[in-house]
Amino acid sequence: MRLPKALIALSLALASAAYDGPAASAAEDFFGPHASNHTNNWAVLVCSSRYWFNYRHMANALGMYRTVKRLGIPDSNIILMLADDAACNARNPYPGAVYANAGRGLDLYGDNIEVDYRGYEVTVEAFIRLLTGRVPPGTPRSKRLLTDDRSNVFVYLTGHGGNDFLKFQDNEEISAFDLADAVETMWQKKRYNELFLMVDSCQATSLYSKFYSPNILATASSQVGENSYSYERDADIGVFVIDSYTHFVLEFLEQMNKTSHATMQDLFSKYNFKQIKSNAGVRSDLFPRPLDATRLTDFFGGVAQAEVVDAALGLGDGGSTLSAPNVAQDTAWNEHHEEQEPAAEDEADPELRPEGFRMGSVVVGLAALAGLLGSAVWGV
Amino acid sequence: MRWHVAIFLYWATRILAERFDEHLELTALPDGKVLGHWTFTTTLEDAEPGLSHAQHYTLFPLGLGQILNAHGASELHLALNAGQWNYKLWGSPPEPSVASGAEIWTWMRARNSTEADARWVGLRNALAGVFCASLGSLDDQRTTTPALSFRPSVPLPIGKHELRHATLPAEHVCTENLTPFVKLLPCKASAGLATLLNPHALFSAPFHGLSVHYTAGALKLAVQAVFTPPRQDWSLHTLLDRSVPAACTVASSSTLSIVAAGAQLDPEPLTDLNGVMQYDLASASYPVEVTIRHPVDTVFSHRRLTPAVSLRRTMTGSAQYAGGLLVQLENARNETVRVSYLETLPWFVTLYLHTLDIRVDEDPRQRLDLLERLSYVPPRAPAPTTLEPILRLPPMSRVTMRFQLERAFLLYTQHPPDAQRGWDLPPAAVTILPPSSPPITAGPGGQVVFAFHGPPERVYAKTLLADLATPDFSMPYNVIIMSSTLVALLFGNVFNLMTRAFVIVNAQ
Repeated sequence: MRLPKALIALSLALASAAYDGPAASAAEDFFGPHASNHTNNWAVLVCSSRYWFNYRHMANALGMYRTVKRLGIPDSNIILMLADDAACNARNPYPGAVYANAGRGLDLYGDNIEVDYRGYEVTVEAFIRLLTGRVPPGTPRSKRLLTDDRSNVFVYLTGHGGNDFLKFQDNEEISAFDLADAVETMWQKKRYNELFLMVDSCQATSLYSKFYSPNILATASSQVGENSYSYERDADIGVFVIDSYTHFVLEFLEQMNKTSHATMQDLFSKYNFKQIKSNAGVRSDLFPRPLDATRLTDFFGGVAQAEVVDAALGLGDGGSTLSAPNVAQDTAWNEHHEEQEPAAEDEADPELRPEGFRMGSVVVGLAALAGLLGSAVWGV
Repeated sequence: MRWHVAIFLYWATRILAERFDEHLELTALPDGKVLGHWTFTTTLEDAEPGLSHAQHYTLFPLGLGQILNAHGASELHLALNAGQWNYKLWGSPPEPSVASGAEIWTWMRARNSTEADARWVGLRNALAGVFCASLGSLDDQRTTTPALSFRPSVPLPIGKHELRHATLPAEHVCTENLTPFVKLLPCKASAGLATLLNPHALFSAPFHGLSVHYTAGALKLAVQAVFTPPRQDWSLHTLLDRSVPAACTVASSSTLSIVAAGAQLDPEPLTDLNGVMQYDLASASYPVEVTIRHPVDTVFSHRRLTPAVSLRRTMTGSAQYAGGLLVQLENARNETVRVSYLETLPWFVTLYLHTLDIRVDEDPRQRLDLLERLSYVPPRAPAPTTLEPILRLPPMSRVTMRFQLERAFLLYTQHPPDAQRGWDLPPAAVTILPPSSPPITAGPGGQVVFAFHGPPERVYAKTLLADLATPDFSMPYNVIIMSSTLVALLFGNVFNLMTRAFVIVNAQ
């Protein structure tokens, strides 16, 4: 009776050996040991304050919106929630425009903007329903967070807050416990791969202190017992136009483009009290990857690696596949190639074959399986 | 390359019989302002109205077509406006829906009221998603079914239809509404007259509005705005900060009209009829730039027609329980005008119908004989009140209608977040009816059947703010804190008395 067991062991060993090999490990190395395995990016940007004097909170959210769009996340994957209208407010001396700096250099509203939740629709209930996916029937697609288990979600909250809460619309609050439970619901429903929370409000670190779900990275503008401050005021608009923390982060992100390799550690290590005027915090204990290997574009950008090919590709008859491409690659792709030599060789291989899966080992495995079945039937 | 596309699309549209026309009319107004009216019309020439035609569109926006089909909307009118239309100076608006905020009315195919309500929920949520507006909030509290005022503009297809009308007076209009609006056009914002829709210029205008009209296979997207030109002599560039870079090749017609009697235009217009100077943009040289110059002593001889009736509505009384509404309808014509007046009030503003009071000019007599017919739907929370009298206004007179109101207390959870602002009362609408009373008959399904005289003229009043008494929202917090403190003190003292014992300790 030991013979069938030995045959099982043999076939399993051979089958597993079929997937090991130098090419398979090279493929894994290509992506880096700590590369993110997400396939799509979503952003939820929330301004929870109403009224004209909270212009800066709307400018915060709009600045993030513009940055996230510039770095590659499309409008269909961005949920922008603005609790009040700043651009077409009767008090705005520059209708249709929202500025985030004194002197009004850059209009954040622009020509092409989609605000998904606006005005009275921005409530705690709507926000939690959006995150957990339990939206009322009939909710249009643009107001749903259609994430899956391979989505990296960036959640940005700004407004007035306090110890363990964030104020919505000046009449209700979301507590840190509610937020933690909502994110746990997301985890249970496989609605995110990794979640990055950024909060700009007073005592903002308390808002992420209650998380207990895995794969969450969080950062906030000020510690418990500390206020967050606004940055500057424009004399003609008459109110403060941006907050210090968000201004700092946006300035940092402005130096990046879609192909940047800047990491979270680069951003967090630049935090300083002098510029932000409060002690910004980071929580990474629930995050599996090291911060110096986690790219900012994993959350802020919707990066898609694209290969630009000059030569025509023949999709010819039956067996033959693609001819050797002349790749015209951009700098980032070249950097990747320089780091990963074995992968480059495989890339140039004209015949496409699934790497690491050798024909020979398949035959042996199948033979072992046949032997097993035979022994079972005839009772060796 | 562009002409390849143009030829292909030309033949495609011929096969599918779709047609796209665009037109911009700029009118000089007596107070120096300029009225801009863009219309973008997509017509399905062989469309079977209703749910049966296949949706192989080239020019008609598929997203909107699918929404209309899915919810059985045979006729839809959506308007998003901001500002106050000045009927006296600016005349009748080219697009009659100038109510501030959002207004939707639609005739939907439905077998019964329940099906109509279900379709209405789906339709308004879908439109909210498309136009980035809070149209999903047009719930039972804001939806009415006026019996007489919003008739279909064209004969509806066969089948039972129901009307739903809703307004959201506090709704903002901004770039996020214009972005998807322009994306519904075939040439988007890159060619044709839609390139002139500059959000910064449009939303600085004292009055601006976007509207969408769908009737039986014809979709009309319109923008109307009253701009303040920086100087008396203006051009497209100084007025709108844009010029048209390229022609929209799929447009069957693309025209620009300027209505300014006595003005000099550069370049010379194609036609000039009675002060309406027209350009054909299909054959113009690009980029298009038009400059208008008024000679020194220009007198504005061309005034837009004002509507037959002018409407003014105010709230009277300041107390919660003793309020009133005063409506003044002025007939400036030399003949009797029949109007239907639509008043929609939220459920917590109770209207007392027995206090209805109608007077003419300075005459102290009650003139209930002017009331031809009255349709009244009492409020039933959350459904609003719908009051629709049909009045016969005597020639050259002012008819004053008064009734009393009472405002209720709301629960603290029913107030909006900025409760101290008050509640916007939807704008009243006066629809000018044809003079001879058409026979209003009952159709086979019991619905009211009207004769058609084309789209009627409609005049809107201003939105009013009803001041509601607000509770002290901090009271729940105060009560919890106070009672917790008392319980803690009481319990703490009792516990200490019962369990604490003082023991004297020798201090050595």
